[in-house]
Amino acid sequence: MNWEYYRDLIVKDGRFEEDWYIIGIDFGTTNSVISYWHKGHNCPEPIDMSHGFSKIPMPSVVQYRREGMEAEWVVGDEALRSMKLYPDTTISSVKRKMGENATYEFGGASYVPEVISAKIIKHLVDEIRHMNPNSVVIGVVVSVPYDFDDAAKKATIRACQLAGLSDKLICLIEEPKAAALAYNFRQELKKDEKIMVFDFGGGTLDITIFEVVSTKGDAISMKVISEGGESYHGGDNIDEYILRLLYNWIKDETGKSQKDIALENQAELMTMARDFKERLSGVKQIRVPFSFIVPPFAKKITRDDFEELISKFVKKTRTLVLRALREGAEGTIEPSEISRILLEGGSSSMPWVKEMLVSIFNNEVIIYSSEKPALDIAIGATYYASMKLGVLSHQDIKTFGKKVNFDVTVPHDIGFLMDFDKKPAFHSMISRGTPYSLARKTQIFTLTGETEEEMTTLDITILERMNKGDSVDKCHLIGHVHIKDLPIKDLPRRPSGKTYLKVTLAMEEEGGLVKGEVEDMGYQKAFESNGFKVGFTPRRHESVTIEVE
Amino acid sequence: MIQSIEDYKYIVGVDIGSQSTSIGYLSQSNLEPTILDMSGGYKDASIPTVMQYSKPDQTWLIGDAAKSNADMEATIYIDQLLNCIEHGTSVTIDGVIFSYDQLLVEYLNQLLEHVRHINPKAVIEKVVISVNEMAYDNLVLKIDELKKHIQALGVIIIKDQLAIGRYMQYKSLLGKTSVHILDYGYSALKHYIARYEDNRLYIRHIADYEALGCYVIEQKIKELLLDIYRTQMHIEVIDEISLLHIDQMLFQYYVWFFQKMAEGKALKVFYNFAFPPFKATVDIKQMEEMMIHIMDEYSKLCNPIFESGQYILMGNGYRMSWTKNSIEKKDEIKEYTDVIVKGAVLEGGKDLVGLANLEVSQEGITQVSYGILVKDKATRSTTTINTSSNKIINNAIKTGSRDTYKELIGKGVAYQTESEPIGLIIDNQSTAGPEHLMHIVTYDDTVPDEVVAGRTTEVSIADTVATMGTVDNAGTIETVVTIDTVDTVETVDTARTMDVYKVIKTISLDDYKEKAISRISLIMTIDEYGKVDVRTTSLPL
Repeated sequence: MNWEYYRDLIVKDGRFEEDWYIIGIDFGTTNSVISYWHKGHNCPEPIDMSHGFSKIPMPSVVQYRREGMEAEWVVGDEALRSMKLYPDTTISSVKRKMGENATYEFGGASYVPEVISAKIIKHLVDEIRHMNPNSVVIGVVVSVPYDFDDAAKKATIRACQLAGLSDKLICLIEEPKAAALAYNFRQELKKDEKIMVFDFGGGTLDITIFEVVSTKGDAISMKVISEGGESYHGGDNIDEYILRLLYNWIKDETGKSQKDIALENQAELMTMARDFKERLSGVKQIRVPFSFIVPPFAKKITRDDFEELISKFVKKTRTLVLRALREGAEGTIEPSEISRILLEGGSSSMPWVKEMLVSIFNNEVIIYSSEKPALDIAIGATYYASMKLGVLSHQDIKTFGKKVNFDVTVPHDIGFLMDFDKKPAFHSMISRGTPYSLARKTQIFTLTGETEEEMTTLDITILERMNKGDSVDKCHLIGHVHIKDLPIKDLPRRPSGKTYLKVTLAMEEEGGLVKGEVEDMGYQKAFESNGFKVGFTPRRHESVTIEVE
Repeated sequence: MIQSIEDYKYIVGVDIGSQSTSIGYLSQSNLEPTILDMSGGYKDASIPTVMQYSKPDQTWLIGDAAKSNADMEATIYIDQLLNCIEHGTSVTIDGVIFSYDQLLVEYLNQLLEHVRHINPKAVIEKVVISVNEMAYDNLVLKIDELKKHIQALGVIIIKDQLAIGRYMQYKSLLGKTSVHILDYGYSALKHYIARYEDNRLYIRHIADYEALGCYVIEQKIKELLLDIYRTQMHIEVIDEISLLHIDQMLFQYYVWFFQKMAEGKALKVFYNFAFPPFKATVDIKQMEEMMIHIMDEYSKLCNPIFESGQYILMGNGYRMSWTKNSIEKKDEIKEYTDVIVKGAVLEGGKDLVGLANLEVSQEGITQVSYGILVKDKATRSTTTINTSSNKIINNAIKTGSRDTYKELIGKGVAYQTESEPIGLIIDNQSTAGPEHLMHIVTYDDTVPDEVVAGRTTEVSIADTVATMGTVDNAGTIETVVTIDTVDTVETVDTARTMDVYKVIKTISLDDYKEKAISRISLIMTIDEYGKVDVRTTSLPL
C-alpha cells in the first residue's frame, strides 16, 4: 500500500476510516513533535506526549542505560533530566549527525545516527498506537531543514524505516515549507506577498523567502525565491557560548578547568546554559548559582552582557539574512519588498532576534511571531500529508485556508565528479535555484576501455556543492554508483568509445532526494540502443552497485 | 447572523485564576474562541498569576519570567495577584503605593503584548476579564480606572459563572436537562449543577471537595519525594537547600507521576542535586496505593455523574488521565479545557457569533462564614494539637501565608507560635457539608518554635479566637469581648471555598477605652442579601 492507494480510497471512494492516521513529524535538533489529522476537528492535532499536561514537544534525547544485566533505552524528557547520571550514554542533537559517517559506541555496540534517530521517531509513533491500538498509518511526512544534504535526507528516511514505518508511506518536507503551510491555514495570504520564514531552531537557521504567485480557486501557489541560513547555526551554538562563560567563571573562582569537573556536573552545566539563555529572554538580569562547586558561589549577568557575549553570533545571523536577500533566485530582494517575516523555532523568541530584524527591515509591524513555534512544523507536515492524500478535498472536510502548491527550488548544485586532464572537477548538472519540477538533467558518457569488463562498467560519483565557488574537495558526496555488466549489444563489435550512456539526475519533487537513471543510447547510427534502462538511488555510505543482467 | 471581523482586530478574553491566567481571542477566520498559547506550544498555554517588581529597573515582570526570577535581590514578588484583587489590597514599594487595580493593569498590559507578538498590527477592540465573585465586586468599583489604563478600546469585567454560561450556550448545552459541572482545581474538586429555565441559566454550587484537590495530591507526591530522600540519605531532617531542590523537582515529578501511571510504568526519580546523585524507582503498585483513597472518593462522587451522561469537565485536574478512566465512552467525554477564558471571549464577541442574551444566576450561594477577629497582644490561650509532620508544620509556619492553610487541610491541626498576632482559627472539615471550617490567617512570617512530629504539643496562640458561626444566607453572631488589652476588632467573612478573609468592618474601641469600659457585646447580623450590620454595646463589669 502506498500514498496513491490510500488517496484513491479517500478521493474516489470517499472513505476515511476511523483507524486511519495521517501523521506529520517535526524531527528537531532539540525537540521533536508528532501531529495527526484529527477527523473531528478537521485539522492537525499535535499529540501531548505528557498525557494531558500540555508538554507536547519531546526532547530529542536518547539514553542508553545499563545496570547489571539489564539494559534499556530511554527517550525524551526522562533521558534529558537524567543526563547527569548517564553523561556518557546520553545522546542529544543527533539530527546534526544525520548523513555523516559518525557512530556512537556503547554497550559493546556501534550505532549510526539513523539508528538513534529511529528510537526518537518510534517513541513518537508509538503514541499513535497508545491512543488507538487499531491504528493504521496511511501516510507520514517528516520535516527536514531546507539545506539538509541528500545523505542526511536519506538517513532520515532510513530512520523512519527503522522505526517501523513503511517506506512507501514516508515523505519528507522542508521545514520552511511546513511553517508556511501552517501559517497559511491560520492567516490568509495574499497574492504577490513576499514572506520570509525565519526558522531559528536548536540546530539550524533556515531562512526562506516565498512569493505568493496566485490565489485562484481553492489553492494558492507559492514559489521559493530565495533560501539561506546555515546548518550549524542555532540555539545550541548559543548554549556553547554560555557554557564557555560558565567554565570561565568556574576557573576564575576555583582555578578548575573543564577537565577537572566531573562528567555529571558538566551535564548539569549544559542544562544550566540552556536555562540561562531561556530565562534571559524574559528577564533583564539573572543570578546563576553554582551549587555543586565547593564552596558554592553565584554570578549575576544582565541581558546586555549576554548579547555582548554572543555579538559575533548575532552579527553572523544578520549577515545570513542579508545574504538571503541578496542571493534571490531572480535577483536581489529589497528589504522593503518583504511584506511579512514569520518567526519560527524556539530560538526566535530571544529579544535580539527581533531587534536585529528591525535593524535590517526598519519595520517592526511586519514581524509576526508564530503562535505556536514549537508545533508549526509538525502541523504543517500534517497538512502536507493530508493534502497529498486528498483529505482536504474530502466532502466532509471543511478547513479554512486554501490548499497550497509549492514551487520549491534546489538548494545546492548537484553534479558529477569529472576528470578533466587528470584534474578532478565538479561538473554541475542541476543548479541551485532550479525549481524541483524542472530539476532533471542528463549527461552523456562515453564508454571506453580495452577489455570487455572495462567496456561494460561505468563508475560515477555524484556530488552536492553547498556553496558556489567551493572546490571539489569541499563538496558533499551524494553517492558512488558502480554500474557493471552493462548489456551492451553487439560487443565486442562495438569498439571502445562507441557506446553512449545517458545518465539522468533528478530531484524528487517531494523531499528533494537525488535519484538517477542510466540508459544505453547505442552509438549514433552505427550501433542501436539495446533499450536497457535502470534507475538508481545513490547513497553516501554505501556504493550503489547496479548489476545488469 | 454571523458577521466577520478584520484580521487585525482582536476580541480578547482573560481568565484570571488564583494559580494561572489564560488569554484567548476570537479567531478572525472562523469566529471560534481560540486560546493564545503563551508558551509557543512548549508547555502550558497559561502563565502563573504572579508579578515581580525590580527595584533597580523600576519595572514589572509577570508570569513565568517573574517566577523564574523570584530569587533575585532587590525585587518584590507578588505571588497572589488574585488574592490582592479579592481583598482590594495594595502593595507599597519604596513609598509608592500600587493598588490592586494598578497591579492588574500592569499585568494585563503585559499579557496583551502577547497578542501584538503574533500580530504587530493588532488592535484590541475589547478585553473581557473573567474573575470569581469576590474579585468581581472589587474590580467593578475600579472599572473607570481599568478602562483608562488597559491598552484596549473596551474593557468588560464578568463573573466566571457568566463565562461558563456563555460557553455552554455556544456549545448548545443549554437544554432542558440539568448538566453537572465538575471543576477540578488546585484547591478542590468543585461540583455545580446547571439548569436552564425561562431564559436564565442557574448554576448551583453544590459542594467543594477539598480533600480531592490537586493541592492535596501535590502534597502526597512531595511527601513521597521527601521520604525517598530521607531514606536514601539516612536523615530525619532535610536541610533548607535540599528542600528547595525537592520543591523544584515537584513541578516536574507531579507531571511524570501521572504520565507513568497512565503508561502503567514505574517512575524513576532522579536526585541530581544530591551528593552523590542517586535515583529511586517507584513502581506502579506504590503509585496506585498512594492514590487509592483519593481515587475511591472520586469514583464514589463522580461515577453516578458520569453515568448520567450530562456533565462538563473543567480544570487542570482533568489532565490526570485516571480521572477519566471510569468514563466508558471516551469519545463522548464532554471535556472542555479553558472553558472560562473561551466563555470570556464569547461574551466579548457575542454579537458577532450570534449568541442571544443570557442571564446567569448563582444558586445555592457558596456558604459564607462570618466571624469576629480579635487581635490581642496580651491574652494568651492554649490549645492542644497533634502534628502529623514536623516538616510540613515548619514550612507552613515559615511561609506564613496561603500555604499555611494549604498545608493544614485535612490534618485538623492548629499551629504553634509565640509571636503575634496570629488570627482566626476555624475547624476544618474536608468533606462536603455545612460544618464549620478551619483556617489560619497569618499576619507575619515569624518562625515559631519547632513542633515535634507525632506528639501532642502545647500551642500558644497570641490572638484570641472569637466566636465563629456559619451562616448560609442570613443570621446573627454574637460575642463578648474583653477589651482591656485588645488592640483591634474586625468582623470578617470568608466563603467556604476561600482560605482568606475579607474584612467587613474594623471596630474602633477608642471610645470604650476612654470611658474605661472593659467589656463589650458585639452582635453581627447578616441579612439575606449579605448585608452586614455590626453593633456594639458596653456591658457592665
